[in-house]
Formats: sequence, C-alpha cells, structure tokens
Amino acid sequence: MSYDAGTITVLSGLEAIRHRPAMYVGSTGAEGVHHLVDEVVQNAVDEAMAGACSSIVVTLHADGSMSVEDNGRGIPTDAHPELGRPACEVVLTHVHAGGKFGGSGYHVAGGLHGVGLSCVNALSAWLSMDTWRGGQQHQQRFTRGNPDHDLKVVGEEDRTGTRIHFQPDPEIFSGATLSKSDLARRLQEQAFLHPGLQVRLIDEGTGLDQAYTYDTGIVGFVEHLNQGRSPLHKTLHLQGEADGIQVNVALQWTGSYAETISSYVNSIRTPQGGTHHDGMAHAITQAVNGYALANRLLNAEAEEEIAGYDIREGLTCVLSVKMPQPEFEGQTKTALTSKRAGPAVEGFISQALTSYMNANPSIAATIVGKALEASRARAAARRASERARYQLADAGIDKEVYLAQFGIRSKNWHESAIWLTHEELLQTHADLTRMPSDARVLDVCCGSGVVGASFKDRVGSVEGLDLTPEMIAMAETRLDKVHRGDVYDLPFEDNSYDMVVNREVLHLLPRPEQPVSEIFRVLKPGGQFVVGQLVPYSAVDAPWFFRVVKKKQPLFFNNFTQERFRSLLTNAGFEVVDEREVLQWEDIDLWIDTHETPNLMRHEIRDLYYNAPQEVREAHPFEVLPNGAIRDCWRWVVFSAIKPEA
Amino acid sequence: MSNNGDTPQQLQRGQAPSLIGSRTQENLEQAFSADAQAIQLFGYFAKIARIEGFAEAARTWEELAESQQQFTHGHLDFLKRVGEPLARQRMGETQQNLIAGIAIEQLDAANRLEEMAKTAHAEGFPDIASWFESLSDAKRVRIQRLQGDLEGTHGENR
Repeated sequence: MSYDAGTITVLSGLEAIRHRPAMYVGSTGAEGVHHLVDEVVQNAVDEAMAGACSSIVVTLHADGSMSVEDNGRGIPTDAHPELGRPACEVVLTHVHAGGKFGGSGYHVAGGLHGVGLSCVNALSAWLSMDTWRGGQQHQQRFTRGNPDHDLKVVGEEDRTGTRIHFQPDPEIFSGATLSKSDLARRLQEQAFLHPGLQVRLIDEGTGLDQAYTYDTGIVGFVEHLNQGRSPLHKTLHLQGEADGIQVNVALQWTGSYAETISSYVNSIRTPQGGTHHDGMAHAITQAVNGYALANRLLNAEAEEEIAGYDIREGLTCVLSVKMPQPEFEGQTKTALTSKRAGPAVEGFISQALTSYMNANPSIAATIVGKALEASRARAAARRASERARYQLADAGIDKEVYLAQFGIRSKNWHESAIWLTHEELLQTHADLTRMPSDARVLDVCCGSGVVGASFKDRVGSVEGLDLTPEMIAMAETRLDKVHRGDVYDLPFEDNSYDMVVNREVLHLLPRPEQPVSEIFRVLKPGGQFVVGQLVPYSAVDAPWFFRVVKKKQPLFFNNFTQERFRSLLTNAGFEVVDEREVLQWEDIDLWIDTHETPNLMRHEIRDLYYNAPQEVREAHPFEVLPNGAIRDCWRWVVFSAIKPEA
Repeated sequence: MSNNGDTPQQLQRGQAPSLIGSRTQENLEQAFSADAQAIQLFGYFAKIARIEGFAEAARTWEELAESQQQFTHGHLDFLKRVGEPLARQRMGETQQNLIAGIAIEQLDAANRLEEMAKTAHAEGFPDIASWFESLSDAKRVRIQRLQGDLEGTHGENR
C-alpha cells in the first residue's frame, strides 16, 4: 500500500480509536470485547433486516479469536468512487464509512454509525476478512487496523456472504474474557427478533454448537422470558407503523412482581431505554387508565388513577422499533434519544392497546385487576411501616402487620431469596454448635424451619416458634415441635433451653433489645445463642445499604453493622465467642421480586446500584451485567454468644 | 451569630464595611442553605422523573440542579472571606478546608446525629433512629479519611 495523504487520514482515524477505545466500545474490559462481537454480528443482522441473509455463525476459536460468518450479499469489492480502493477495505479502515450513510444499501441499520467494522479492526491484533461475491472469494488481512496486503481473490465459489475473523488486541483488552452465556443470550435475542433467521454459536474450546432459530418472533421471546412465571393471559402482539417508524411489541402480564422490559432499535438492545421505551410506558398507562375509567373500574369522582409503575408490575414486554437514522446517547447506544420516536410509539401503542382491550374484555379485566392490586399493595406496604411505627409508640408491636406480610410470603418462601436455603450459610450456623448432643434447641421465628433443621444431627431436639399459621405448618415438617408465639414475650419458662438459634429476624423488629433479652431469659446459664444477620461491609456502605433494604422491605427497622449487632448481644448480657462471615452472590431481581417490594421501589433499588457512590463501590462488591441485571454479594455474619454461668 | 438587629449596619464615612456579623453575611448563608437544599431536591425529583419515564422533565431537573451549583459556589466565593457556615471554621485553602471538614463531620457524627437518633427512638421511629445511627457511623469513618488528607498537606508544605 502506497504511503500518501490518503493513507494518513485512514491511519489517524483508526489511531484515534486505539487511543481512546473506551469512547468507542464502552470499556477495555469484557464489555468492550462484547461490543466488538456485537458490532460484527450487528452487521450480519443488518443484512438479515435487508432480507439478504438467513444464517449467522459465530465461532469462538480455541486461540481466543472469534469469527462471524453470514450468507448475506458480501461486502462490496468494487472500487470506492472517491478513494479508489476496494469498498470492503474502505469499510474496514475508514471511520464513518460504509453503506449506512444515506445510501440506498440499507433502509434501517444498527451498525455503530459506520465506526463499526473499522473500530473492530483498529482494536484487533489481527483481522481477516473474507467476502464472497460474483462467484469469487476475496480475502484481506489486517494487523491492528493496517492492511497486510491488497485485497486478493483466493478461490472460486458460487455463494455470497461475509466472514470477519478477528483477535481482540491483548494490548487493549488485557485479561478481558467474554461471558459465553451472555453472548449466547444476545445471539438468541437476535434469533427471536428475526423470525426464520438461524443464529449459531460454536465454541471450539468446549465443543458447544448451539443453533437458535424461531418462527414465533417477539411473542415467542416474551414467552421465553416468562418461563417459570405464571402468565395471566395469552401474549398480546401489537404491530404497525407510525410516522415512518415500525413498532412491534409483545406484552404479557404474569403473577410475578418484576417488570421486565427489553427494548430494541433496529435490533440493537437499548438497556437504558430512551424515547421509544418512555413512549410505550406512557401509552400503556394511558390505555389501561382509559379503559378502566370507561368501564367504571376506577372511582371517577375521586379522580382515581393507577400509576404507570403499578400498571407495569408483573409485565414482561419486548419492544422492537425500526426507524431510519436513530440517534443514541453515547457511542455504545445504551438509550435512544430520537425525539420523534416518543410520540410515534406512544400514539401507535395507545391506540392499538385500547382497541385490543375493547375487543378482549376478559384480558382487559385481568390487566386492570393486576394493576389495581399492585396499586393497593403499594398503599398497604406504606401503611404497614407506618402502622408498625404508630403501634409501637404505646403498647407493643402490631402483630397483624407481620402476620399479613409473612403469611403472604410463605407461599413462595424458599423461592424469595437464594440465601434462605443456602447450604454454606446453614452449615456455618450449625458448625458453631458448642452444646452437647442431647441439647434442647429452640429456633425462634423459625420461618420454614430450615435453620433449626440444619442443627438436627448435632443436638437432641429442635423446637420452633413462629407467629404465622402458614409458617408453623411449614416448619412442622422439619422440626420436632413448633410453638405459636411472639418473640417479644416468649411462651417459655426461664432457663428452658440449651440453645437458641435465629437468622435474619432482628433487623425487622423495633426495639430488638426486648427479643434478645427474652432469648437470654429462656436460655440455661452456659447456654448458647447462634444468630445470623445480613450486614453491610462497614460503616461506609451502611447508609446506602439502609436505603436498599428499606426500599425492599418496609418493615426494616434496624440497620445493624457487625459492631452494632455485637453490642446488641453484649448489652443483653451475652458473651460473644465467635463471629463468622459468609459471602454470597445473588441476583437481586429474585430478592426484590416479592409482594413486599412495590414496583416503584424496585426501580429505585436498581438506581441505587447503578449510581452507587465510589466509596460504596469500594466497600461493597456488586456487579451490573451488560443487560442491566444486578448481582450483589451479600455479607452474612453468624454470631455465637454464650449466656454466662450465673 | 449576629449582633445586628433588624436594620442593616450603618456605615460611617470612610469606614470599610465588614462582612463579619453583617446582615449580608446572614443573608448569604441563608441563600446558600436554600440553594444547596434545592439542588438536592431537584436531583431527587430528576431520579423520580427518570423512573416514571419523563425524560424531558428529568433533564430539566438535572440542568436546573447543575446551574444552581453555580449559585451556591457563588455564595461561597463571598462567604470564604468570613468562614464556612456549618462549623464556623475558616475556609479557603485546602488545609483550612480539611480542618473545617473534620470539624463539620465531628459536629455531625459526635453530637447532632446521635442526639437525633435518641430523639427518634424516644418518639417511636426506630427505623429513622437506625438511619441516623448509620450516618453517624459513616461520618466517623470520614473523619479518619479527612485527617489522612490533612496529614498529606502538611507533608506538601515541608
């Protein structure tokens, strides 16, 4: 390749990408590598959207390189009119080049505004491009974005298509490894978005060869997302066009509490939503309220209205819009900013959903019923914490509030959080046992009885105590005997038990000193109290942790740090003899998907993670996955305390 | 704080005005406090608007909060002549500011927040009491961090 003015331009464009890779692909970690693969896959998907491609094969090679092959039209090889170089070389070496700039090649496209393939090329240690056109296979190889040689014909074959094989540059992405399950999920997503398109993932390292192809489109996608949930009706599918924007949306409400909305623009996922997402949200709010009002399901005189976030509770939805020249926030396209998408999507969905509800009154009644239930539950959650607080001012605690909340939760108790049945955590409690093998043990506020049951092979007998009949029934299957009663006033004589065990209860009880002194009272002198508590990592993440937990659970009253919990025990007269930490990663969606957490609060909790202060990030490990899902690393401390001998 | 009554201090001919103890100092502090509170309120509103899907309203709140920042910093440009308004320490250069910061956090952690927690317990708001206690704990840790930075500035000067 000659060294001339044209060359300089080419190189300076790609050097800029190598200089600030995060600006183009988001980060130089795993997320960045995902962007490279996505970018190449997106180019193949653009061919599929243009109706020219039916198969995409993504291969993770044993040497860490990856390739994407499609049977589209093949990148053109004829000379670029201005630069006089083969078009395919220009696409790989010029920033803002490609068929997606006002040309007639594509009506809608998702590639990174033409930064696309050249960006992948610039950030690859090497890249090899094959394009099949006009009966010939053309090939060109590049090193860090620079061509090794001119485009050459390497064979004759009667097919069309493109293969991009590249090695992410270790100088840029040092140590970053791509998540295969995440990649598989993204490919499956594309297969759902393009009915009939076959997307295949081959992993040479493990021998995995998985093909995704669906005829059901986004309706099938919604039903796939709802696996394991109980749908309340058949999936709604609304499809049409407004203001030159194609809108395709599938909706289904389930008995779950979580709101799962996936939105796409030209097949690109927009994890932070944007104007299309907001437009849809408003449309759903309008349509549901409009229908409810017209059918006298709301109190019109009181101007009753159901809030959008209550309506979206339990909604699983896939929104796919296709539009020319979309505008995004940032190069990595996390949110759509095109203003006209908002009213177009809102207008279409509002009208289409209203017609659908009018034509299907029983489904409409189900949707409105679910929304009203969410709205009432939110009001009840607010009242629960207010009522417990109010009651405490004079007498004791209002047991009705606890009965209601834990009675409902008992239905899916073990599904409501992984930690409930986590083996290591249960084992840590049991391992702290210091009492003899004939010890009489009480599991106080025993819930389903799993904690007490974990002690059974080490002690003589394990009894339980709980407030709600639902929990007592569950615990009776695991424990020797279950008493009904209240931890503020234990129905037992002084010095009755050798050991008391308890987990994750005291944070929910106002004036926790009283239950702790009750436990102290019923223990024999020399007896042991083993208690596990979820705690923040330190004083630094404590205020943030308080807000997270309070939004999840309105009955959260005590944000114990490890130190404060220890003081609670020692102030009651206990001698703390051991403290063991158990760390545990959990997807927070599971944890907040319960009736006690109103939908608005779920959003606020996510926001607390997304925008956690730096000090908190350093103190408290958690991770946000590329699809926006959050995993937290819970920190448990299990305390062992002894009631001193007289 | 102020020894002034309802009328502004009268300036004698040829006398340089003093901001210390003036009504104007008091007014700057009030304006600072109101504007600083408004920034936080707008930021809170912006988050709610984002969650509810009102991107335009969210942007408005965010941009108002951003400009308002200029207002509060403008108040501080004048107030630094007389000292910061929270713990009444001198302010201006980093070393002074760190000393002021430690004083502010000590005042909050050691006195104010613990008193607030006690009151909340007494009035039957255990969750709010626990919230104040968490803040008190967090502020104690901050004091250590600020003290570390302060030692760092001494090193610079040597």
